[in-house]
Amino acid sequence: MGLREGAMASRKGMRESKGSKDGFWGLVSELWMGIVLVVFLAIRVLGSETTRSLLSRWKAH
Amino acid sequence: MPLLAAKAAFALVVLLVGGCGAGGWIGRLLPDTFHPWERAVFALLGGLAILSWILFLVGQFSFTPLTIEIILGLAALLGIREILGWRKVHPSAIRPGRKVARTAVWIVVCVLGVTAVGGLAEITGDWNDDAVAYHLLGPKVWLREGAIRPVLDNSHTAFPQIAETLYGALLAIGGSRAPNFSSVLTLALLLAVCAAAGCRLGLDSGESWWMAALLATMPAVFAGSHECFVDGLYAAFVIAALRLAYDAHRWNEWAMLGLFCGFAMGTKYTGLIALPILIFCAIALRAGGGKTDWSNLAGKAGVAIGAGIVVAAPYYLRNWIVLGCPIYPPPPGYALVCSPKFMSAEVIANFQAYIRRRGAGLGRGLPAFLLLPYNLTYHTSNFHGAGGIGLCPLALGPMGVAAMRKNPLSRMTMLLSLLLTAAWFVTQQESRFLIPVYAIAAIYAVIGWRYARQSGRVWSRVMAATLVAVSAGYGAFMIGKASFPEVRAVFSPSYAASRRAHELPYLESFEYLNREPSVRRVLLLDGSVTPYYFDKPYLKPVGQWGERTLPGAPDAEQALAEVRALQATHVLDVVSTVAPFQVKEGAPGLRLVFEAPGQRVYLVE
Repeated sequence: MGLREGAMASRKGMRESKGSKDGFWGLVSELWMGIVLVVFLAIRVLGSETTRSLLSRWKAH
Repeated sequence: MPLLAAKAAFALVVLLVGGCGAGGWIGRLLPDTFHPWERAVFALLGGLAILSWILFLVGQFSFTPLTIEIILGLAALLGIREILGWRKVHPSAIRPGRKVARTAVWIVVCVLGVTAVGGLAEITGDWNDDAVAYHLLGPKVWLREGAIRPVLDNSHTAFPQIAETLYGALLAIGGSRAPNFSSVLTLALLLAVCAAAGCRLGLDSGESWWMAALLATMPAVFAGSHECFVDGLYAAFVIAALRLAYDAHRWNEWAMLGLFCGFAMGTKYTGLIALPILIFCAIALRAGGGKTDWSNLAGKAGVAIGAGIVVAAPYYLRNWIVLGCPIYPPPPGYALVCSPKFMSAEVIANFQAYIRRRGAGLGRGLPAFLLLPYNLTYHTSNFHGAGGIGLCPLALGPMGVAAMRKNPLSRMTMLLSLLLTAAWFVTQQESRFLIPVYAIAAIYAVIGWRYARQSGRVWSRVMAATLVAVSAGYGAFMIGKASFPEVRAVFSPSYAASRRAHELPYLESFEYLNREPSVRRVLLLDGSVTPYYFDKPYLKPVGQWGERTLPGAPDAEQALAEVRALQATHVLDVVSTVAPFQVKEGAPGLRLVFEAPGQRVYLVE
């Protein structure tokens, strides 16, 4: 495929990309998205100063 | 404040129209695949750079308000004609967006609104604030002296100056708030250029808006695109060159590619690395198979490189002539090429060591490189960022890459990202320097989101939408939190005054020196004093990085001994993190005329 043909096919190719319908890759992508979200919540929410101070207060209590 | 805001807005409109006038011809030379709105965006972006380039060249001889007004006025007249011509084309050319993109449009509008309003606040800060230390210091001194010359007491004012020259023009016609206010235009242009690249990779209108929303809510991108930082503008030039690299076919289109690479080199030194990478990727896209006409390709690449060099040359030649080295402060290995003035070998070595320390990020080895996606997502503050780049590049980007793995444009884009990241990794790991890659990551994140939506799995759709919401929401919250003081200062005069008193070092002395008519030239003894706040001529024998600015390279003490010969009328002495008071009590020929905590002003008798 030449440059022009390849470039022109870009949008068409995108329109035709339907994503993976098979279970394995769908599951992998869901798992990956879940991990990224959970790590974020762990670092930003559980690791935040507010949460730490609440935890230490709760422990002291 | 209303008057200051009106002046700043007026200056920005003049610059915008002038940019359209100066860049109209760029819009006509772009490849056929460019949509009319892309032509308008590229014409404006390129036009601003051309305008700055002309101002810089003329400014070597005259950089006065009159000169600036004449050049901007002529450009604005051309711009009005250009815009009237666009009006006939554009309404029919704008594609309707999908309903779902309205949220994204609102996110973009809110971030741009915060940028605009926050940009109207007074710039405050000490010598650690880049805008105060050099981005605005240079333009202010150029306007006072009537010519563009590096300010010797801060070597960073010798950086390539496409953005700073525009700041000078804005200062001249729009007052002190106009340069920061102009961030709204450069951020909008960055988003628009990235949308153009995204559309070429297959995003539809609604997805382009979401890409813009994800990019706008990346705190690291926002940090590099406002308060007179030039990284957003630099990234816009790099992504514009990438968009051109997709479709450049004719000779003039390759010249346009080189032109935008040249603008990148004229904005930041990192453009010197981006140029070969962009040209290499453009060649790689067209190479392969038995039909490659290598001599033709080499010729076109040569034209692009030549165009880039011609555009960037004035900034580097000026440095070579005035400062003894084209890149200043000089990089490692400079001694083989040049002999820099005003900085000793020891000062240069210290500066290079500082850059190595600051740019170390989280390490230099292969494990650190492989961990970059994780660290850039969760620990961007280690790269002098400001809160991260959001979750979507890491969570959705890989799916976008996988979905586009057979697309030649996508492969070239991935190669470019890899090379730009590797170059950034081995040079200086400052988060905002990597904005072009963040923009590409945002495009792939949206492609990955589409992949998840189209997978037919409910959980995939829910997870992807949650990620986009959390990422954009958290980023917007961080940006809002960081911008709150500026926005508050715009609406509350009492808060603006207290912020000024708190964040502007040696305010009382500057106010005294600026209002006192007998002050004609001041000797600043301490290297950490920020002359940006000072409205009159000054001498600073030892600069921020140890530069020696006066003939014979005297230090502060020696300069003080020769204060009369230097024709200074006053001396400012302060207690700082660098040094205590340097003028001894009862020093002959000096009379204390003003004193505040940690600050003393002497009259030279």
